[in-house]
Amino acid sequence: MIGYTCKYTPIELLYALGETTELLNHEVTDFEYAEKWTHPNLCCHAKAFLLHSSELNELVLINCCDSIRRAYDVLLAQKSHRFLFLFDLPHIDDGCGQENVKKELVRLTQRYIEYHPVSFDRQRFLKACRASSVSSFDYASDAFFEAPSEATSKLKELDSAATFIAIVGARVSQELLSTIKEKVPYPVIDATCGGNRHLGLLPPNAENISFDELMDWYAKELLHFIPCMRMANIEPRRALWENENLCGIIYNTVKFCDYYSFDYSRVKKEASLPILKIESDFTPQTEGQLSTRLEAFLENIQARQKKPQKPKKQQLRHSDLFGGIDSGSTTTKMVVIDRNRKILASSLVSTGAQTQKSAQKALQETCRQLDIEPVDLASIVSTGYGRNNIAFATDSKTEITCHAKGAFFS
Amino acid sequence: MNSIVHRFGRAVSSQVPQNPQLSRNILAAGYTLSGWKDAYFGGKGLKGVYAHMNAAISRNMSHSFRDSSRSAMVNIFFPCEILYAMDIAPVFPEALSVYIVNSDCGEVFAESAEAIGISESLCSYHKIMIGTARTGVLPKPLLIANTTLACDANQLSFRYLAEEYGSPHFIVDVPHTVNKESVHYVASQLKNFTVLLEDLLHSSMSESKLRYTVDRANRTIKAYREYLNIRARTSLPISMTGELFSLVATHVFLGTPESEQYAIAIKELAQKASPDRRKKRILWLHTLPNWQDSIRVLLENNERTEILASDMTYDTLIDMDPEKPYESMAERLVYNINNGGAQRRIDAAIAYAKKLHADGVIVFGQWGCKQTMGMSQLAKMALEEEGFPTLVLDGDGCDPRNVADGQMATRVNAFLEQLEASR
Repeated sequence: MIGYTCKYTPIELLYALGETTELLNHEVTDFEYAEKWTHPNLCCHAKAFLLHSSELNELVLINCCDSIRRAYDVLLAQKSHRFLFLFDLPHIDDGCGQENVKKELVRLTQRYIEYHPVSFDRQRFLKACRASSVSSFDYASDAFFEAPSEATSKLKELDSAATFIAIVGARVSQELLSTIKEKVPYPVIDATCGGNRHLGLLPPNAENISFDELMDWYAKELLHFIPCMRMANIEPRRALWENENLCGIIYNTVKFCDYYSFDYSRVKKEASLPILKIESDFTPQTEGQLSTRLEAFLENIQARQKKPQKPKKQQLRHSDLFGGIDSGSTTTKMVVIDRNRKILASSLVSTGAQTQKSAQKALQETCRQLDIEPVDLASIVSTGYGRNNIAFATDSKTEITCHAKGAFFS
Repeated sequence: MNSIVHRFGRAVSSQVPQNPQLSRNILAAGYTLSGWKDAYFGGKGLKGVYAHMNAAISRNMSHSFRDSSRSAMVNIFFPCEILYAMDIAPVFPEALSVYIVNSDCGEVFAESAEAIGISESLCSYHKIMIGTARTGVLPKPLLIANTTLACDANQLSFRYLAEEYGSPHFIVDVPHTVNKESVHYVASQLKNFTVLLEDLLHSSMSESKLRYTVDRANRTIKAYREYLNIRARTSLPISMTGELFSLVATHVFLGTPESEQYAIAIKELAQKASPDRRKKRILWLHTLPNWQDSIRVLLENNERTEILASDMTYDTLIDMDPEKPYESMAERLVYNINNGGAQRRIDAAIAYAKKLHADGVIVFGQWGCKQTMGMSQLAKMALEEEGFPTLVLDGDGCDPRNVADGQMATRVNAFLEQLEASR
């Protein structure tokens, strides 16, 4: 099993050499081990990788950034891996760059065969390349190479979906990716520098051409991936946010990785889609905060799509009065407004241990001020940390959206 | 920092938001005056050598602010012999940011860069340079060019600046692999760069002028190498600012008469100097925070210690062949100790620590420099195994906001006490 970290790793070639591969993209609980060997201000992904690298005896790294180059230097000094290879990827994707990639592919093949006498299996290579030519975003795996038909059907499902969300920017950990996929009711693709690899179609005579010619094609295809920020020409990155089925972008930066803050400024300027910016550090995330931010992001997407909002309960009773209740950790606040946005009544009560009770008290107080019954309110929208526990609310919004609305309230 | 400099910095900073042109004029006037003063009243000895170099860099800075139509924005490793042969002046982040921070007006530019969302952990030299461009204080250059050698920030900052200014941008891709094939690859790109310059300037490169410039660069390298050989047995009160002058002389200014004069003059001074066995001899890795009085007091102009060299000055002191200018410049990039693995730089540090009879080594963890910070512990382990006590010192060469001044001074002091205890 060969571990790798970068999408430019020639995993189809490694598969052809009989190897299985694993993307080392997992979180750690702390960086004590990595910081002993490097420095606290090194990219958090590289630090997490250093710890996980000890789980495997064989690694192929790409000289993709300063931090990974230094991680490689540490591993080289430790001498604890049986096979450790640094692939020298050029920054330029022209003909000379392709020639250099090809040389590296040949060097990797030779080094691996010296280490483990096997031969290049052309059929396995072609099988893996075919599989990678149908997947754009989910990183390729050996299971994927083995069962490309399943992957293809999964992809069709994604393609036919009207909308999807892309995670763009620096790589996300597998754990964070899974959390986002669980919480988001849209297909989510990993378009970060850890995923997002797509090979073109094999040449028609791929069965017969020489190894050298095959590597020419492969080098060209690797350099034609949608580029990460370390490459010289980043114009093709536009494809990431110009897809018409894309409904929102989750933009991830990793602490102490400088590449993607530049890209984020550009995406923010150019993409007219809801964008959620997150910064991760390859340690377990605080789920509560992420959930709230994801909810606000989804509300933003829904607002753009102008889909009619389904009220939680059909309680339309009065067409002129609207309630809003903020269930905070200390106090619960409620206001009632009319169609002219004029505040007619308000109340503030302590939240206490039971959010339901305090919400009920706030509701009764505002109704008392207007001499109406709760059923006279056309709708009641809840917000705040207890927003989902208020049974009489007809809809809920995150406090982030409410703050934004409040800032423009007049 | 004295009160005149403080007032100067305040005058520059205060005009940046509303009147960047005025800030630019104040900076240009300040550097012109500083250059003029040091050119004519620089003094004698080492002080005079430094003054002449400061005058040359100040002229360069002043030119960058006044007339940018014949300037190129480049990174510190870019082979500027090509530029000099075409009468183009370089602007580079390390000098720009150091001069700006020593003019007490760096903060406004660093904050301007951060305001557009650029990572706080980006190298401060690059951040300040981006700030000067964004605010409109640094005018648009003729072109922007950078190598990919050693530092990710080059790829990001220079690309951003090219977009911001709308200037032509050229990237020299330096492979990580250190061999002859990489030299050929880099040399062919440098030739393409010359073609771009010729197109922009509508004039041809004079091959004889390029050979002449490379020959001068070669003489400078030889003189500086001889200086370091002599330094092995002498003591010289070099300053942190002086080491930065040496860095400029052996890099971006290589090929200029000022650079050659500097290398020869400092070599001659070293020849006249005698050893001083009382002082602890420090080899420094990476750039130096010359703005930081608390560290300067400890490491320069005292009877306790002296800095021998910064490893950035000797990173590529290899012979150049004027008959093969492009290949020579390419060799300097590919064989630079910052290229390839960290072990090359560590091996060079050990070799120079031995050669210069260092008592200790300071690895300066420049804010944002993942290359240096990432190898700092490996360097410490390797150097200490060779018998050189090593201090990993985190700091920032041009942004005081990232520095715990008192803590740094205490750590340097404790390190010196450790060295003194081992007398």
